[in-house]
Amino acid sequence: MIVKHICFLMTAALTLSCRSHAVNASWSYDKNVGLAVVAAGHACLSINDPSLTPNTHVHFIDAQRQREMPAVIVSGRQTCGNDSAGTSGYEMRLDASEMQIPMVGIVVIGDGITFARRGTQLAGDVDRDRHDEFFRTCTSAEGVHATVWSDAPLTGTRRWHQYYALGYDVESTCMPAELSP
Amino acid sequence: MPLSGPTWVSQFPTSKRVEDLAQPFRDQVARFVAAIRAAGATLTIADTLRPPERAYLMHFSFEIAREGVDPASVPARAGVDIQWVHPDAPGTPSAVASRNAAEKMVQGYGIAFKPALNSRHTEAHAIDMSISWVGDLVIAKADGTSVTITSAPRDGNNASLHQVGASFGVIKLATDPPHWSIDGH
Repeated sequence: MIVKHICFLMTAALTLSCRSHAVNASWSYDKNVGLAVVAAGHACLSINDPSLTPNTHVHFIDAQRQREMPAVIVSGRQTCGNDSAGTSGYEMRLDASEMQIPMVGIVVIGDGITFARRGTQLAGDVDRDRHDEFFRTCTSAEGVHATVWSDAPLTGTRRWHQYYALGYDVESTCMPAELSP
Repeated sequence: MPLSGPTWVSQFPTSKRVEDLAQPFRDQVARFVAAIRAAGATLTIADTLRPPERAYLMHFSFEIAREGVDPASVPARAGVDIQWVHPDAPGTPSAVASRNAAEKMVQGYGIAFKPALNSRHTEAHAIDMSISWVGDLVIAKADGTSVTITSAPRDGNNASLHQVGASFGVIKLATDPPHWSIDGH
């Protein structure tokens, strides 16, 4: 009887442990991470998921200032997407009063993700694999390279990368690891 | 002299015309674009010439609005009759009004990162274009011989297409997917 109780408790503990840290099978970088552009009067999300519905809560990450803030999907908006990249477009709502706009940022979708500071860096275990992810944006000759890294920025594993063409020339700030397709 | 402000944003627009590129790059691009289209690929030109006057306006409006540069210190540029320093009511310079006017230009241009003053685009030596196709692409190189591109991706990032472009003197910049230029910069 005692052995049965111990087995039950162990099974329950393992189940709870697995549930609280399991990688969500339906979660993927391809589908749950996107690129956002915030300008005066509008905030656009380009992401490889055509099924987002209004009032979906998302995390907007200002990688330049290493800050995260909540945002909400307002509606689908075709002009926010990128046809050549095959992404869908959405209008978002967020509090831009503290932001220096226009801005290019990263959006992460997922329930229960928490973000914290690791030194000067923002970090969060977005894929629930018990490894922190880090967020960067940099410029090449005329575009922004947005990246997400596991364990450490630049030296860790690059999980996600997307390019955004600015339409004007800028000075390059990217490191080689951020530039590869 | 007109004061700085958002009315400048619509002046000196970026061109999408191959005809606005400098020779001999213009003819090289025209032949490459014709070869891509003749092969049945879809091609859309985003930018060719970015007027240096526009780059000047973008660069210095950003410096004044976001980096605290004194508008009186901005060098004049031929062909851009702009007054960066806004006068106060009695005619004295107003740093706040000057900065606010520059910020309206930054917003109007949609500037998220500091613009460069000079580039291959301002020299009329670069083109941004999106290219895509379905299946294999049979395309003529500059010497008239054909190559069949079977590899992925089937877009402007394809390494074999980059070699075809190079045969015309149109060189791919790998770090920026839409960008091709006279020397890959």
